[in-house]
Amino acid sequence: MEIKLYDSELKIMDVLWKEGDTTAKRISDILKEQVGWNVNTTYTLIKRCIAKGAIERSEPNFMCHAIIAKEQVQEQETKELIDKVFDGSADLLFASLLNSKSLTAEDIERLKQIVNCLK
Amino acid sequence: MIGISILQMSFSAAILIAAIIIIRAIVLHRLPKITFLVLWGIVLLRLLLPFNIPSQFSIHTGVEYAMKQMPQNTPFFTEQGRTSDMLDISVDSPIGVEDAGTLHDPLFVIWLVGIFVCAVFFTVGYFRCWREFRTALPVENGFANRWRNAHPLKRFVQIRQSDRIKTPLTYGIFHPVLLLPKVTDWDDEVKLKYILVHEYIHIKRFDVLTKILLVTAVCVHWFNPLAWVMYVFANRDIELACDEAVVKEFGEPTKSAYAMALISLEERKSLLTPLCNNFSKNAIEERINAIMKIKKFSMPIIVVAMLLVTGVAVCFLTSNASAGTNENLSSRDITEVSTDTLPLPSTYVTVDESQPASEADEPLAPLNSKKNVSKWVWPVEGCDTIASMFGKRVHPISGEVKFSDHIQISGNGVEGATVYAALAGKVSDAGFDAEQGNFIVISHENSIKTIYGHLDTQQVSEGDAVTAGEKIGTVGATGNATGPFLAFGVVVDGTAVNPMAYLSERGK
Repeated sequence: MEIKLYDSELKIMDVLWKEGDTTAKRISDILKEQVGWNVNTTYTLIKRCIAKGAIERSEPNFMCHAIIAKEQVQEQETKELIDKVFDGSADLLFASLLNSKSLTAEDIERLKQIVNCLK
Repeated sequence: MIGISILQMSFSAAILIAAIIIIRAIVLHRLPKITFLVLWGIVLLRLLLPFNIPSQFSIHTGVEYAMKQMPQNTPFFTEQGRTSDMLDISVDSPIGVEDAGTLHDPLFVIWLVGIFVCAVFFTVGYFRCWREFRTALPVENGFANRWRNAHPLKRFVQIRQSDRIKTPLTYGIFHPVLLLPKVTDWDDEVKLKYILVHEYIHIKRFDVLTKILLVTAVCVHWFNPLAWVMYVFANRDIELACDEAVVKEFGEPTKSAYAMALISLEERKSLLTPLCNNFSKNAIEERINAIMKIKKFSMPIIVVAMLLVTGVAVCFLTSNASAGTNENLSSRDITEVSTDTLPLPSTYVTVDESQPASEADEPLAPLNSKKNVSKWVWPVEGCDTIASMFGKRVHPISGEVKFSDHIQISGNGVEGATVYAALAGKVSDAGFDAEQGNFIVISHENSIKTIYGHLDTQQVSEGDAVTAGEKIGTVGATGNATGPFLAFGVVVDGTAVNPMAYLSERGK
């Protein structure tokens, strides 16, 4: 099942992944603090997530439960990135990561270990 | 009270818009872009505010002058049909209705429906975008904060980022938000600075507010194609003026780098902006051209720009000098009539019997011979608003300037108000006509006839002798009328003359 979530919707999911099942009210309180969204904005986004099948709503108190896991989204986003930018080749993504300056020496060492394990 | 028609406003603004587009085509790259913004500002004033400042330099004075050269022996009421098309708007209620009766007019209703449709279209579009923009996430990084501290404004500018837009934009008037696309490269600080300063100038200049005014003008004047043309060009000129300010801030040598930054943004044009996509290709070319041609403006150029703006303002923001004075004069006179003497007869100078019949090209000649004094009465009880003047008038449909051969008298409580015979005489015709509704024609001495149209009731019939001030009927809206008012005409020797000229003579 493929669900495309926009950044703002992922922000809602982030709260759920971190906090576990949460009421909509609490989500809106947290996000008001964090990103300054007002109640309506947060509720609109929660409803969109529900419509997309990413969140399940239960009563009482508009309790929200994340149907999709963070890993699922990560996998999907990575796959999309590889398909779109790296011509479907994970090798190229890897090469790009290794070349990029944003990786520390530690990161590179760990990546190498993963590669070795996979071998 | 001076009645101003929305159509007259639209028509005179249309001339101005056409003039600005011509000027723009010729000197767009030679004048500071702010010049055009000021010119569009004048158009907005003309479109949105009904007002009159008399001036002999007004474009309308010229139109009136041309009208005077034309023979005025128009048969009475031949142009009556157009009174129904007029949308008269009074000064103190710019978008209001002079009286509820006007609602019966189908054209007026169509106009209101058009405004409503346009307003809904723009509001829904804006609201949809706004709801989407609101979900954007705040940007918290060193560069954005540093930049914000370096460019303080009284209003706090939020910088946010969204994956739903493709080009940077600004929204909000009191709480402005600078919205950047998710793909923004925060390492390319040079390009970022261009983008941020561009949006910052939009915020500083309240361009969002200007755009809202433009939308309002287009909604009210939706029937005027030139208003839409103005909308497109004024929006472009807001961008051009902003680009100019950016280049000025960074210095002229940066203009090609800035132009390149714009082109790269244009490659991933936002899909969320619903309007003007058809024009955007043309517009971006114009923008790049304009940026590359930016240079320091010399003093003479700035003087030329200021003269241009002043000239346009004097020509178009003022109204016909003579008409303005007439209107002031007559409304003052009428007020006197209503407060002091109504319904008592007032004296007035009329035609001398010994004078030859007036010639076609000199219809007002009889008025100049003030020998014979007879008594005239203001024809409507208690109402003194001239809803429509005698003389040139803009045709609401074709936009032509035409000639009105009578006046329309209106005011509070005009419906059912008593109509008096203006002069003693004999009723020569009384009947019903599809155009003028119930009408009465009274023949007086000296080949003068007075005509009363759109009456509710007629209390005299053909052949009756009437005295000045005798009740002959009541005001209505019969025939082709936009609402209750009295159409009052004066004919001398078969030539329609200005009834107000007679009434203005009062007391002399």
